[in-house]
Amino acid sequence: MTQDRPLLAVQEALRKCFPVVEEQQGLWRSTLNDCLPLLASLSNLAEQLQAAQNVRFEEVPALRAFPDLEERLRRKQLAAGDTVLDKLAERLATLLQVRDTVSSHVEQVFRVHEQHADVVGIDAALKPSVVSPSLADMLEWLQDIERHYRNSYPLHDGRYLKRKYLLSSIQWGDLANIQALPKAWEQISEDEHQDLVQDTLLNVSFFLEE
Amino acid sequence: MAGDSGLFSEGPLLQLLPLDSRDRGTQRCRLGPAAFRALGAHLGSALKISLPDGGSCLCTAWPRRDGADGFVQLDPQCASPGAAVGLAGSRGTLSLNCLSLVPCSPLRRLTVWPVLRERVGAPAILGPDAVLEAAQELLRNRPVSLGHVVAAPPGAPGPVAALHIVSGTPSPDSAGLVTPHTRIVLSGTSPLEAEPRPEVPLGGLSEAADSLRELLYLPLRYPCALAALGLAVPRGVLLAGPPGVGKTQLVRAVAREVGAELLAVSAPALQGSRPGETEENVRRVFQRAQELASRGPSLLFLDEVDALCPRRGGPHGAPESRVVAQVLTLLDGISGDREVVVVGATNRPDALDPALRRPGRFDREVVIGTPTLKQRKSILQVLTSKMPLSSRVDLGLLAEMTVGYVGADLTALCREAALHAMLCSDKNQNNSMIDETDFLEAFKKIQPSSFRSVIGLMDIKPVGWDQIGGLDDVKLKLKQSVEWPLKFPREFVRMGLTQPKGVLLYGPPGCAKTTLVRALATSCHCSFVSVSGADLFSPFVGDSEKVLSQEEFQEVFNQNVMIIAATNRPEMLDDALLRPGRLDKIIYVPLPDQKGRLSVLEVCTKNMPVEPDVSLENLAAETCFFSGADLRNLCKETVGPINLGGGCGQEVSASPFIVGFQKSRAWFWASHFYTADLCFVSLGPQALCLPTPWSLKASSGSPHSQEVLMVQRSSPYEDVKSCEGCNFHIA
Repeated sequence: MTQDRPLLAVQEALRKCFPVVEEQQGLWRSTLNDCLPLLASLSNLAEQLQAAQNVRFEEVPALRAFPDLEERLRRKQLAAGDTVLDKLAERLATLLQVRDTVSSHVEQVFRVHEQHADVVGIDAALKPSVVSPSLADMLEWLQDIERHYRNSYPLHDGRYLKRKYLLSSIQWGDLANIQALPKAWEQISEDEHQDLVQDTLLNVSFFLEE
Repeated sequence: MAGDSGLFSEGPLLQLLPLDSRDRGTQRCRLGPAAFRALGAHLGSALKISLPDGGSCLCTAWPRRDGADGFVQLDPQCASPGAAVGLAGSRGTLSLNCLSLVPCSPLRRLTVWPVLRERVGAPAILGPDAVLEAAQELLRNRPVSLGHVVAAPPGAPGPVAALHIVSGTPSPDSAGLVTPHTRIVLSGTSPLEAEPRPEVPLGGLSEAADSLRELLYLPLRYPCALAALGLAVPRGVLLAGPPGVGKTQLVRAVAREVGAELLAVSAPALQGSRPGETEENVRRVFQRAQELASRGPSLLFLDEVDALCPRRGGPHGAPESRVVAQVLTLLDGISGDREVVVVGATNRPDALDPALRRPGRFDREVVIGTPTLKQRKSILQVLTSKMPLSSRVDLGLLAEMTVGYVGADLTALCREAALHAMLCSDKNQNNSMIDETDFLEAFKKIQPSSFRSVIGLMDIKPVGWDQIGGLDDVKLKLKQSVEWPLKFPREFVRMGLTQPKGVLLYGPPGCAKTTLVRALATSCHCSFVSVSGADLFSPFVGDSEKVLSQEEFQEVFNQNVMIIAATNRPEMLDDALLRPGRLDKIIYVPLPDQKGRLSVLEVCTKNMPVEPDVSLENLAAETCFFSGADLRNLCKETVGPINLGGGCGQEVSASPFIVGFQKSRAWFWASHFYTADLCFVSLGPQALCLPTPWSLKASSGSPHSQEVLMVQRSSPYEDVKSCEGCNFHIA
């Protein structure tokens, strides 16, 4: 049984890793869901701003009584927008954290595997048992999951953090884009392999219970 | 490990399969368990794979999901420059020897040179931080190797398109792993510039290359000197020349030589289906060129520019002219502080919008013509420099033979010769030499491309002069004006004669005008390019090609080509065409006289079994005004009923000839109405349907107890008046 010990060590590392992934996946999903209403309100604000832009204040008699109405309105709306953006940034930070946690755990598993790889041998690594998938499969899935988080994150990061600078710097220049944000967000979620992590977790469920 | 793979002296062959889509961007190499064992690899270990085209790529080893042996799939995300392109979608085999396990130690520091993605929207200036962050993301947990390029997956976001691995500690000569602790540094200089650029020799294009090189070199090499002189450097070149002379290759070679970044765009590829799309594409290309120019010397090459900038005001309408206007604007706009040299290539410079061809846009025009003898020789030398030629191959002779061949044709010729050599020498495949006979065989197959397309090189069946009955003086005149100058050029020079450039044959239809030309070509051993006027007039070709426009004629005349035109309506030709210097010899091909008809009949019945009671002399006398074609038709009509009625071996007697005579008369009759105004025709009543321009004038009896019709054409016409007639009178 001494031969099996390295294999067991790797399996042990895997057993520790998958629950973490499961937990982080829950966090990821809930964070993504939290983002949606925020984006909707952002888009709403953009619509308001656009509407305000289209109004000719000086031509409406009732509004002439209020000095600087246009500027004030605009500042209010922008401030509201910034608040939403701050909240969004928090969510994005959480996503980043998920990514890093998963990454470090997966790296840990690979390190353990690296140490024992020569002893375990390729045949043992390729052989699945009744309850557990083969080592090769599980490692591959972990790598895929980790890549999935990394690939998903920069999408949000690249698009939305950058948009924050955009919003504050060029005075909400592309309002149409902001209005389309919730759509774009859903699009991203659709593009992702939403089920990758769930599927993998299902595949290893017996292995984890063992 | 090395010993294991060494066991296979040849190495088992693995079939190279295209990558699964889910593995894209993972840098995985999928192998079967046997290959794993043979390599001694474990999961995720780094593998260096030598690719068949000389490149290599670095992957991590992963087992195939189905566990099958004998296959390999690669994701060439980290590969030597250019290797990934060659691998994409390729199928083939890969020896297991090409795969080797490489040690992969963690890197402390890594220097990369980023290739930035083309920005679609406004060119946002990216801080180095953003690039660095993207580079870190891209490289994380990847094994990399020195000199390789890590490409970002095409769909992935981020500013980085690819990363060149420049250096690292410890040096990742074979491989090194990027860990979260690896410090990644961006390199300022491109590793590509340091690389020596391989010279591609250009055969026979040195003059054109010089002129282009000068244009590129000057501003690229001496910008300050030129600025001090206050000169605006020419920034646009138009290359014009027939297809296949090497315009594209010239530009590529010169750009490589000068070290300029080349952005080669084929103009048709810019065409979009939606309105405005083409303009957008054009703008994007120019913008991209500007971006490239901001980093270093760059050259924008627009291939087939005539597709992008056709002459405006033509039948194509507004969308095309908008594109032209866009290109003009961009060319102008770019010239202000333009670093970009724009080179356009076309084989139809006349089809370009004239506004494009003024200085400031395409300042210079370099015409690359069909290669001359000397150029062909040097092209052949370049082409054959890497081919195992036998000593008997005389490239000079080959160059002499290949008149009208352009570079592409010569390449095809060499390829065909090599192929022939390979197919013929199956026995000694290893040291097959390419012999002269191979070239001669190839020469038969490869036609110069200028002979392709609409203008077809006729594969003339050799026609001897004696196969044309009659027309002796016409033959003599043709020989004088065509054959002699070609056969005895020296005598012509001695006598101070210029050889006639063109000959016009005119005469009624069916009088062997085309056959005469064929016989002529046969006797002179000339290539015979036949152009039917009808081919040239197509509604789609449009006005640009009134094909035989005079300039073009003139152009052709300057080369060693003789034009022989044939028509049966000479009065419809433009008078300018008929002046000496264009079509200087005008020969009338008349209807055959009795003697001529007899010889035509003799020629036509040569292969027919004819009974002795058939008198060709009588027939010739009867068939007044029959053209050569009519006579042949007569013979055909005669044979028709025989084939139906009789068996084989039966001879043709006189009576079917008379039947055939009656029948073909109708045809003959109709064919002649096109050339006569008013005529009396005697014929049987079966042919009484008259073509529209004719009207029946009168009819009376005739000595042959047939109807004699007098018909008149509504429009005046003056041909065929010279004909004497017995039962066909011209009024």
